[in-house]
Amino acid sequence: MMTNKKHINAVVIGSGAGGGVVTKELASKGYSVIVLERGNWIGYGKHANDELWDQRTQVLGATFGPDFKKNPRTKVDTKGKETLLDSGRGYGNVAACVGSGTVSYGAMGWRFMEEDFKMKSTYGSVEGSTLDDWPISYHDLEPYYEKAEWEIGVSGDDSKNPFAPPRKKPQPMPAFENNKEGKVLSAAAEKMGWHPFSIPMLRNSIPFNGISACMRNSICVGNACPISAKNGTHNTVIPKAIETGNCEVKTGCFVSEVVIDEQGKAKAVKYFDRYGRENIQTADIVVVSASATETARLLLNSKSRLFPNGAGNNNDWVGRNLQGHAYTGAFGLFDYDILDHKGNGATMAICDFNHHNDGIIGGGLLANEFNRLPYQFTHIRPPGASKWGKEHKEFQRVNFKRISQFVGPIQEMPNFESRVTVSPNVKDHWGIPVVQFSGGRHPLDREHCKFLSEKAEMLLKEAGAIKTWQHLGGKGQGGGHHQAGTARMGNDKKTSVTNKYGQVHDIDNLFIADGSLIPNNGGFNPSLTIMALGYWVGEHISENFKHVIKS
Amino acid sequence: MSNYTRRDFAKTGLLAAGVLFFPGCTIKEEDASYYFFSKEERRCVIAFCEQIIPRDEQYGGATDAEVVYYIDRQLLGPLKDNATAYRKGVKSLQAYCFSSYGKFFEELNSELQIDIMKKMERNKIDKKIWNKPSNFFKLVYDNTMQGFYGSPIHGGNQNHMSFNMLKIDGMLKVRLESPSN
Repeated sequence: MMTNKKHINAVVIGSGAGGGVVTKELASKGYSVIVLERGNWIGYGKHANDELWDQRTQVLGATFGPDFKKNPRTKVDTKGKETLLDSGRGYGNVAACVGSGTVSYGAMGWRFMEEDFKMKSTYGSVEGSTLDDWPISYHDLEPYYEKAEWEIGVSGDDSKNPFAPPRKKPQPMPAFENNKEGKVLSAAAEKMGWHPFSIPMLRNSIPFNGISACMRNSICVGNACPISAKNGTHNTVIPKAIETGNCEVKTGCFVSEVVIDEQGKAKAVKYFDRYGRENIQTADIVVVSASATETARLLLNSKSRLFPNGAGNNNDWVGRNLQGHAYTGAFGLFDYDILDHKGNGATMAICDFNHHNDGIIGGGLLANEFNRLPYQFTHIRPPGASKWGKEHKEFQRVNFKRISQFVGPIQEMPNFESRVTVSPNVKDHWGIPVVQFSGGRHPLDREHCKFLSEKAEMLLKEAGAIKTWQHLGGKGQGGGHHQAGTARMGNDKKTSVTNKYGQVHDIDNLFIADGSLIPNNGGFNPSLTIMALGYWVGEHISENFKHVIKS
Repeated sequence: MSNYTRRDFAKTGLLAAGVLFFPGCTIKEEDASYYFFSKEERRCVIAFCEQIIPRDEQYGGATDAEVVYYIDRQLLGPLKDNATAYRKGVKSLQAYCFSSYGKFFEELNSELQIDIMKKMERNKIDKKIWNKPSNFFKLVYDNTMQGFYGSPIHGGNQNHMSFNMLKIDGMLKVRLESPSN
């Protein structure tokens, strides 16, 4: 094993929505930072315009990583049977590249609502769920949302959304225009007394921060942007961090362990570099931002005398409460071409059903869906329609532009048994125990999905669909692109992994900065919230560890 | 991903001729540059895929779009985990057809082929003869859809057949038809 000679102030593990932001916060305040990213820098040129080789379908692999064969996972069913996950199916993938999911995401830039931060106070305890309040309020996080919106770049206009949480400053770029489908659905929503508005997007409606305006590419979600007008950490905060001269991004480096010393301090990290050599990097501060599954795995694999069950896991909360988003909604078949495939497809949303709904806890936004490309469309059929053969082909030909989907992520009820552990049997390419999933969603999620799907179907009917049908989410395991919850932040050490600043309980210089911190995942795409948490955690570190800079 | 395209094969003279096939008709084919499937397996899979997406009066089907060429290539690449399932599946299908009808799958008439495929899809074949044929059905079904509707750079969807059929236009057309892999 090689020990890197250069001791540094902070090592950040993972360069996605959380890690990328923390990196910039620390580097710009004078901290020396090394980012260890298991993936590589991804260019547009080799990774575009191909439905089979994109981050959404993953038919022929995940364009933006990871390599499933080198990094398999497993899942255990209720009978204890372990199944290997070494392809896109069931893997719960978040991209492994510089910027992680923020390179290929759909880039919705939502703020969570005030209620999302105090679910327990708003709705009370939920049986079989660890639903709780966050240790911070929306108002604590509001300035950091603003920072994320202005430094990374969001287009939007909250004035059209009466349910939007209060803000001090508008989003920096004007909202995107509606596509044809969005106009039809908005008109219908207004007729129903609902409140449609333009989806806030981490994408440039006008030139911004030296990057050009969006070219209305039709193949956006699942792919990189050909002109870099979609804002992630890879093209905003990480380049800024590198510019300071204080930051080095090491790609192809997989971290296997955070070394905790006899005093309960994080002393170093062990990692395999791109040549497969094992290295040790010592640091004053360690920030783990490897996504809710891989962060939990890393903590669990980091055993020490004081933390024999993994770093921060003396109360058995690491890896618990894994959430994602059950997507739920409805399809509507129209007798004309409702889709014009202009832009990425998703343009309008409503937040009428995020909270204060009769009989359910929380809820979720509803929006028109990102463009579905021809192969994805082969699976979208009304109940009873042919799945193959002449009729299927005919349906495909006639209706490719005639089906609208109105859909949203339901607020999942955190479940203690929905969890990430490490497999006792399966090891990865480097010989490190892999992620093992177990448990499933809370049964209420299914009920909540029904509620939201019904609303979606009502809208499509009002909009003039000649046929409508629901699709229901809410079964199986959470996780996936919106994974969250496995290293919960909280005020009580017994029921959380970190304090409200993402500082792991009893390990003062070990921080978490990704979706793992989120106590409950809201009814919104979480990336802007993870970025805001990155600013929140990053600022706390930079203000409290100044003494390490000169040492 | 390999940078080798179908055109390159043609240039090097490895590809003698295209494949033309109608369900239920006699097979007329020349040897092409397939790597995974044997000639016998290929006939079976071609007939199967053509039933998933058949040629009609206006638009070509799976055979015309060279879906099986797509599958053949991917089984040696990203989809190599399915290679054994294909070998076994074709064998089971042919054994079932031969023992039931005295003919191979591709030799049966179109109605009978469809009937057998529906039985496979719903696991309506005697377990002792073929356990869970739906797995093989689903595999070929899904790969056929990928080959016909996915990007041409992977070997299927020749001449943008499905893109033309779906009347894809505007920016979506520009981008789908200029894959940069």
